[in-house]
Amino acid sequence: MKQRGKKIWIAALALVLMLAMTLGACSGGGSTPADSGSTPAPAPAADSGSDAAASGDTIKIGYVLPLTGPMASYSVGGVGAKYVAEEALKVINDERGGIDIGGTKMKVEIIWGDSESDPTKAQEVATKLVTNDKVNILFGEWTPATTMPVSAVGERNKVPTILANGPETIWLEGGPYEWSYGLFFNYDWFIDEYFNAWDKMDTNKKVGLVLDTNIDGVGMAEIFKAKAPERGYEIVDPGRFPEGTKDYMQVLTQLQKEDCDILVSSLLNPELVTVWNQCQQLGYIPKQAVLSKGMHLVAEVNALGEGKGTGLTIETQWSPQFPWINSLNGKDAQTLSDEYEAAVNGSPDLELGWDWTLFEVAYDALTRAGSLDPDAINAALLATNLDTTYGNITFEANHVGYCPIVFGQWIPDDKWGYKKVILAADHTPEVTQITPPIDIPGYTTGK
Amino acid sequence: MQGVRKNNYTKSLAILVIVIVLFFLPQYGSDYAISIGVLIFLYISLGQMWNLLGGYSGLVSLGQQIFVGIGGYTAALVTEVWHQSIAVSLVVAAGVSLVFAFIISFPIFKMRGVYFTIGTWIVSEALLVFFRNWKFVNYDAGYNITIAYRIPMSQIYHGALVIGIGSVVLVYLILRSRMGLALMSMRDNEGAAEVRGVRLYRTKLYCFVISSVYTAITGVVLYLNIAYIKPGAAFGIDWTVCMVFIVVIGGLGTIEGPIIGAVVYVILRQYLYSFPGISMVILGAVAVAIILLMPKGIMGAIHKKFGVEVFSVRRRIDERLEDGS
Repeated sequence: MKQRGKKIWIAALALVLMLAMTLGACSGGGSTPADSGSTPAPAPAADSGSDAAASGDTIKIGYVLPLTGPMASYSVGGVGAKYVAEEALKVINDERGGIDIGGTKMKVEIIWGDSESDPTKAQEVATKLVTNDKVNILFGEWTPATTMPVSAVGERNKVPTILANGPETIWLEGGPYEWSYGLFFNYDWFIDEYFNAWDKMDTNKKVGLVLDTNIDGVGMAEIFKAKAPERGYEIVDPGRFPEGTKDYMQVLTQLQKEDCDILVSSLLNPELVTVWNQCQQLGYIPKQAVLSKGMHLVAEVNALGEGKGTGLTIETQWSPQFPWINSLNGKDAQTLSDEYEAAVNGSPDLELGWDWTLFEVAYDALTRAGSLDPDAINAALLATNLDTTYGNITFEANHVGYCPIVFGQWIPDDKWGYKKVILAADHTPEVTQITPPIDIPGYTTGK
Repeated sequence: MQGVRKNNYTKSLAILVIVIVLFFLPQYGSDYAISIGVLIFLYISLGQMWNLLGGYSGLVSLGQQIFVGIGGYTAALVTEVWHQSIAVSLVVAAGVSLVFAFIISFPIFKMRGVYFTIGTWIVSEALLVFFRNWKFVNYDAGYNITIAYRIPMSQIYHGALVIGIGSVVLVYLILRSRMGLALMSMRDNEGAAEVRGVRLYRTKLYCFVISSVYTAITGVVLYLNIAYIKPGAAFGIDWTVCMVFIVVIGGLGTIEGPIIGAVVYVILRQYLYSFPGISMVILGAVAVAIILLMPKGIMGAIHKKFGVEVFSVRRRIDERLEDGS
């Protein structure tokens, strides 16, 4: 027995040493099993530049996004991102034969990382992409919660990182950044467009807030109260309630009593549906209602029930009416939308612009860098000046490249049930297809 | 007796060599190996501390994320808001968690068994809601821990190594002490232990406080690694779920269990990142399989088969006699 114990000890020791050596040796990366969602490219005839040889024979982009978890309902499990990645690689790898790195055309490979809608997992998977897969560029997409840890990984490991989709404000609190760049919308503009749209409507200028204690709710309430007086609006604020509240009767009754023509709510989808249903129950149907955050997808509007979504308004980050041309395939927003609809059998509600712009900016920076040296890519990113699907993108000193944000309204449509039209885009004058607003059918306020 | 001593000697030497090999990992290991090492050591610590409560003293807590969150938030506030060093945040985290553990011990120690479990969970959920609504901690937006961008991975690794090994040593020392004996007798039969003179409340309290403070310190380093904290993640039940997973697959009530559990958990998770969408299904299936095949966890199965124990807390009673086999 004792002898056996000793043998096991020596075996364990040997095992640990072997493990340590293996881990030490596998610094070349690429030893992980082929990932189900990866888009491998055939290796070009190698003998590329020295820095290229160090990280394999493809240019690797690590793409961290919520494929599962609560946020996956927005990213539709990555369907949109994967479609765009496929289309972008078709152009970059197949049509153009890759990107010229030190005289050799190298193909681009995407390695997907599932953030599981969780900051902790986002950090872990981004670290894995950087240290194990040795990605040359890191992408992080969808909301601060899942992108901030990605930029932290980029900063620590000195890997050029591009984030997309979210307001710039929270991200900037973590700055100054050296290696991360953000394709974000301007939070101030985002609120401004609300007022710009309301200015075009015939209301009593009373805005009722139905906002929770989530950061979006707290932030919006503050900024609304600050902006309302100068814009000539009166804010009726029953106060913040906890996230996930199930009953809004008390809040809504106050708005009804005050006869608010405009209702603003930014909650997750189930709560937003409750708010709207309880409005109907109370017989309080405002003339205009912004149902934000949980009502970005046409499927969510359809789920409200027959006709219940008509006239609802929301900030808008993608519209076929956008006037810009994609720098990779030269297609306009309408064509990109149509092709997306045909390919995935769904409506591009939210993310098409972010997804494309990520690839456009990365391709442009890599082409100009002509090298896989992180410093060169970083310098090229900072010097970005590119006309993309989202208009002209340049990164300011704080590393933010501002993306368009406009204000839209849901109107009935034969194809998907509803479609969004643009009501206001004052901060984005290139957008010219502006539609006059309609009132919510059967409204009960202001009479 | 001679054999036992000789075996102990080999054992100590082996442990020493392993520690040295691990200590110098940043010198020869890849970045990836280092980052995995960080996770393994931190999860060992989380596992050990949960095991100290759940495995030895019978306090099955589902609220240990409270202390991960307190640790993480202390790191964020101390470094971001007050611009103090990481050392200060470790001290403050220890202090705050000590006080908080004392305070919540009064109500939750009135509960036993499953009520205690639910009680701890409720405290953590309440804290989550509280932090989301607390202006002082920037509501739900949380903090970027920017100081963490500039810390080299090797330093975080050494911090994690000290915490991981420290947790093993701490639990070992506790269990070899008088208190350990009291804890184990409590786990087996609370009533009998009390009759025999074990001061239940005090022993539980010590155990809870030690575990909580150490978890908070681990939380500081965890969040220096993650570099971004928000309430939903910091006080999420996920932390405790992973602690339980680590302890259960490794072996409940053994010191080696959490070590094996943490290694399996971290490496499995890394591997499963290549299978987005079904990773959780696989992780769950692994847990179920291990529980079915090895009810006492991996360490329990090894112990049963080979009779080895790395860190024996037993007072040298031959188990084969105990088993009557």
